[in-house]
Amino acid sequence: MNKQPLFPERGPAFWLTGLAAAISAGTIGLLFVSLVVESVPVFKSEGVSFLWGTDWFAGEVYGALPMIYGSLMVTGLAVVMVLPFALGSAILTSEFLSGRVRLVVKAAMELLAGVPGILYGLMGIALLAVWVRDLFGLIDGNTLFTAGLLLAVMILPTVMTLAEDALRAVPGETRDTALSQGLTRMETVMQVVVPQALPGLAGAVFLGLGRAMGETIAVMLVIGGIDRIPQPWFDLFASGQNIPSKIGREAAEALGFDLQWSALIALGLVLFVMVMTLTTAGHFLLRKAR
Amino acid sequence: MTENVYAIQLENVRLSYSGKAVIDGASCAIRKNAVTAVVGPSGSGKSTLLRTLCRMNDRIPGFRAEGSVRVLGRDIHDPGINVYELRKRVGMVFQKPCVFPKSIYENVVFGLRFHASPNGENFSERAERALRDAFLWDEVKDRLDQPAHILSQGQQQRLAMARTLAVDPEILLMDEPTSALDSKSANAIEDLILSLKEHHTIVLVTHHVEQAERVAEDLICVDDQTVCHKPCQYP
Ligand SMILES: Nc1ncnc2c1ncn2[C@@H]1O[C@H](COP(=O)(O)OP(=O)(O)OP(=O)(O)O)[C@@H](O)[C@H]1O
Ligand SMILES: [Mg+2]
Repeated sequence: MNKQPLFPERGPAFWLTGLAAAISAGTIGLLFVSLVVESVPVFKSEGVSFLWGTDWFAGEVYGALPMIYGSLMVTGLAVVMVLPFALGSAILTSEFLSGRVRLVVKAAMELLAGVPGILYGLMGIALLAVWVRDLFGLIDGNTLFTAGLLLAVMILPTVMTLAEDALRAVPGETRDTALSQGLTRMETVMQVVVPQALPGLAGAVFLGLGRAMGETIAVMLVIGGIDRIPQPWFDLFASGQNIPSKIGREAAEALGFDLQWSALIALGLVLFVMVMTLTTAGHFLLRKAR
Repeated sequence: MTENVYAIQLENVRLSYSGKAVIDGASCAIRKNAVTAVVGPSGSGKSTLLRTLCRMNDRIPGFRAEGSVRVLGRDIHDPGINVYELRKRVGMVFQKPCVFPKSIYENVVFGLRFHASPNGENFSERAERALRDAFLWDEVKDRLDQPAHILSQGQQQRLAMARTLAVDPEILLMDEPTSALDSKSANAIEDLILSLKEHHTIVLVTHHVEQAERVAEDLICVDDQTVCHKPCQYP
């Protein structure tokens, strides 16, 4: 028996890949440590009520709940809205379109996924916010709902292509077997292919969620920018605030004001943990699906 | 008259992918309740021919079948034909054993669940019968609720047969069912084929001439776009 060495060949490729991996791992580790260190002051001064407090007045109190609430609400809303469209079009593309059309759709989706967030933001403020205002008879169209809707549009291509990949990963024999048992194509897709692709589909949604949660500029433009939890709490047609938008608005002015700066960093830490959890779960599920 | 003798009759059949013919001008007939082996070089169109018989090629873009393909007395390309009914009567087993990520029992009754008949026949009875017919019952009867993928490759292939048998097809199409198996499992499948021919018409694609000799009464050769009967030297 000859033992496989752990690293079969240590050519330049090995060292380059190793270096890149070490740099990214190191960066993430460093980022995490500095987020923790710099957020210590605000936790010292506010305690855990930093996480539960509902008021944020720079120089007085720092309560992050409205921003955490805003992030969760907007992301949750985006995912609820994106799910039927992303899964529906992924199923249609993977199972019912011919090869050539499928490639065109995929290319378009991947192109759309690369459109910079600021452009979505501009469209959001110029069109979406106005439509939402007029359609629902609001005074201000910049609401949590608007932000969620815009995010849904933004993550649709990502979720759709990843979900489509997950469906394609189900082997053709599985479809053949189901069809040969006399199932219709629809039954085959819904009862055999989709259940088998479920981990991958969930992974696609999680990665989309991670992207939605971290998106800053587009949300900043349409969310309204008010640090409060609406009354009642489920009134999505009120202005709100989420974590990235809060940080984006205040970072420049807060630099140098110790406690406010620390509070923003602490918000960043919360965001980091939430996004990392989603993304890791997403990658794990996608890998499991292969 | 011939309908009573032959389960499948091809007349001047042409099968093509995007206009490129794989089989052209093929005519042949396959006897009822007998084992017919289909042999021929790789890429000659054996799988294409077999899949055509239960219209599994329908979903392949560019595929076209012309000529008359009569299965159990009806032209399967008739507009009036119900393809799902057809696939119930003409079952297919593939080269690679394909089990669903469900329990052994759920795999066997998989097709039944979609064709639940109003006469209320008991699923578990039919599952047992199918598993017995597939020579698998004794090996799995104590662990029907365990996941199917724990079975060996040979057992999985017999499970696939049981799943096909459970919907009670008249014709069984098998595309190299033993090529992914070791010789012991392959022997089990061959015995199974011999036992099934009493009630089923079996069409078997194989690369092993010896296998064809062992199990088949009739031999069909697919080569050079044509299909021809070989008189069987081994009665
Ligand atoms: N989906 C498809 N689209 C286009 N051409 C195909 C397709 N499937 C098969 N062919 C072509 O049809 C011909 C016959 O293929 P087929 O799989 O029927 O051969 P086979 O006799 O079963 O071969 P093997 O013994 O290797 O399984 C081959 O030339 C193949 O390239
Ligand atoms: Mg083949």
